[in-house]
Amino acid sequence: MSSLLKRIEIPIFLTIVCCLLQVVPYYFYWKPLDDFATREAQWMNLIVATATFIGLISLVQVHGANVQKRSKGWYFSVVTLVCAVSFAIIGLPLPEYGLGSLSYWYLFLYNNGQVALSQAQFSLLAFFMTSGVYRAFRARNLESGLVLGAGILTVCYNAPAIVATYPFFADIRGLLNDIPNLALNRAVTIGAALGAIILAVRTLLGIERGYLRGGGD
Amino acid sequence: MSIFDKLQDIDIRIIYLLAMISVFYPLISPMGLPIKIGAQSTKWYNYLNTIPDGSVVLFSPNFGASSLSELLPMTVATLHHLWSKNVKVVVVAFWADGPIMFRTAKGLAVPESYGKVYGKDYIELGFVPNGETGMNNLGKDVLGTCSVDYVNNRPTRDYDIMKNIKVATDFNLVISIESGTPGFDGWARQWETVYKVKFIVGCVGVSIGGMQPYVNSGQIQALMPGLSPSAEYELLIKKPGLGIASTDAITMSHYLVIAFVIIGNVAYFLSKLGGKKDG
Repeated sequence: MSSLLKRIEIPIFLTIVCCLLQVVPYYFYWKPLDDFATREAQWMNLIVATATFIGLISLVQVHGANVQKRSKGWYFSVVTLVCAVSFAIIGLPLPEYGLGSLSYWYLFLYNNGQVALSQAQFSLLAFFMTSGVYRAFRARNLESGLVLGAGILTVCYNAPAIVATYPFFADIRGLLNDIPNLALNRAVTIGAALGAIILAVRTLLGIERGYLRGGGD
Repeated sequence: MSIFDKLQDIDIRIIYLLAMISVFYPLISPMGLPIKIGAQSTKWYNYLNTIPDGSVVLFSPNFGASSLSELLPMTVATLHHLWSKNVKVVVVAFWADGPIMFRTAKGLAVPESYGKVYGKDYIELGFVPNGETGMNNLGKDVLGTCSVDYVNNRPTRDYDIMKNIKVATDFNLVISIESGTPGFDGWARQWETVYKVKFIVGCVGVSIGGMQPYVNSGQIQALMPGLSPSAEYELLIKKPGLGIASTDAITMSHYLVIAFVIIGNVAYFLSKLGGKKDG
C-alpha cells in the first residue's frame, strides 16, 4: 500500500484533474461542473491555511535551531520568534478575550512595530536612489547617455513643481509611457503569457515535474 | 586628485545628509511649490463623479505597511469621494494587511461623518486568501467566499447591503489600491474579461510601466500612479491632506537628484577634457 501511495503517477493525475477542472468550465458551461470547479477553488483556502501553519513550524524549527546553537546573529532569531509567536497569539480570533486582528494590542503592535519598521525600510530607498543615480547616470558612452536621458526625463516629469512650471514634461511622460514603454511591456507580457501556457501544457501532460520531489522519477 | 575627480566621487554621507534635508525641510516648513492638475487625476476624479446613484463599488486595499506613505493619501481621498456619493461600498482585500490599511484610511475619512451606516451603506469583508484564485472565488460566489464580515464576525448575508450582492456582475465598479500581486492583472483576468466589471487602479509610482498597456487597451478605466496624482486629486475634491503635504518634499528630492546628476556629469566631462589637454 505504501509503495502505491509513493507512486509519482498519483500527484500527476491529481494535478491534471485539478487543472482541467479549472480550465474546462471556462470554455464549456455545465452547471454541476462549474459548481464543482468553484468548490475546488475554495478548497485551496484549506491548503493555504495548512501551508501557513507548516510555514510557522518551519520558521520555529529554523530560528529555534539558530538560537539553540548560538549561530551568527542568533539574537535576530530571538526577535523573529518573539514577534511571530506574539502576533500569532494576539491575532487569534477570540474577541471575547481581547484578542484578534481588531484588538487594541494587535493594532498597537502592528501600527507601532510593523508599520514603523516597514516604512523606515522603504524610505531608505530615497537615500540609496539619490546616491545610485548620482553614480550611475553618467554619460560615458551612447548607451549610458540614453539611460541618463530617459532617467532625467523621468525624474523631471515626476516632480510636481517641474511639471507645473514646464508643462511639456507632462507630454513627454505621455509619449514615453504610451509608445516605447507600452510596446516593450506588451512584448514582455505576451512573452510571459506564452511561457505560462507552455508550462501549463507541460504540467498537464505530466512532462513538467519540477514541482514533484525535485523533478526526478 | 583634481576638484573634478572629487566632484565625481562625493562622500556618500554628504549625499545622504542632503537627501535627508531635501525631504525633511519641506515637510517641516512647507514651501507651497506649484502643482498642476494632470490628466490621470482628472480622469480618476471624473470617472468616480460619473458613477450613478445606487451603484455598488468593490473597494480593495491591496497593499501593506511599506507602501502606506504612498498609497494612503489616494485611499483617503477616494474614500472621501465615495462617501460623498450615494453608492454602496464593499471592502475586500486580497492582501493580508489590506483590512488594517483600510481601517487606517477609514480613520481619516470617517464614513459616519457623511451619514453612512455600517452594514447598510458599506461593509468590510476582510481578507480573502489565495490571490487571483481568491478573486475568482469572490466573483463566482461573494457570500460563500466571505461568509462572515470582518468587523462583527456576523454572517454576511444578514446585512442589508448584501441582499442583492451575490456574484461579480452585481458590482458596478472595482477600485483596487495596490502595490503588487495580486492586483490589476488578476482583476483583468478574473473580473474584467469574464464578467465585464469595470475597474480603476491606484498604485505606487514604479508600477505605472506595467499598467500602462492595460490603460491604453481600455481594461483599466483610470489609473492613479503614486503620490503626485494623489495630491492633485485632493485638490480636485477640495480635501487637501497627506498628498499635498508631501509634494514639496517630492519636488525637492527630485531637484537634488537632478543637481547631483548635473554635478557628476559636468565634472566627468571637465576631467576628461583636462586629461586630454594634459596628454
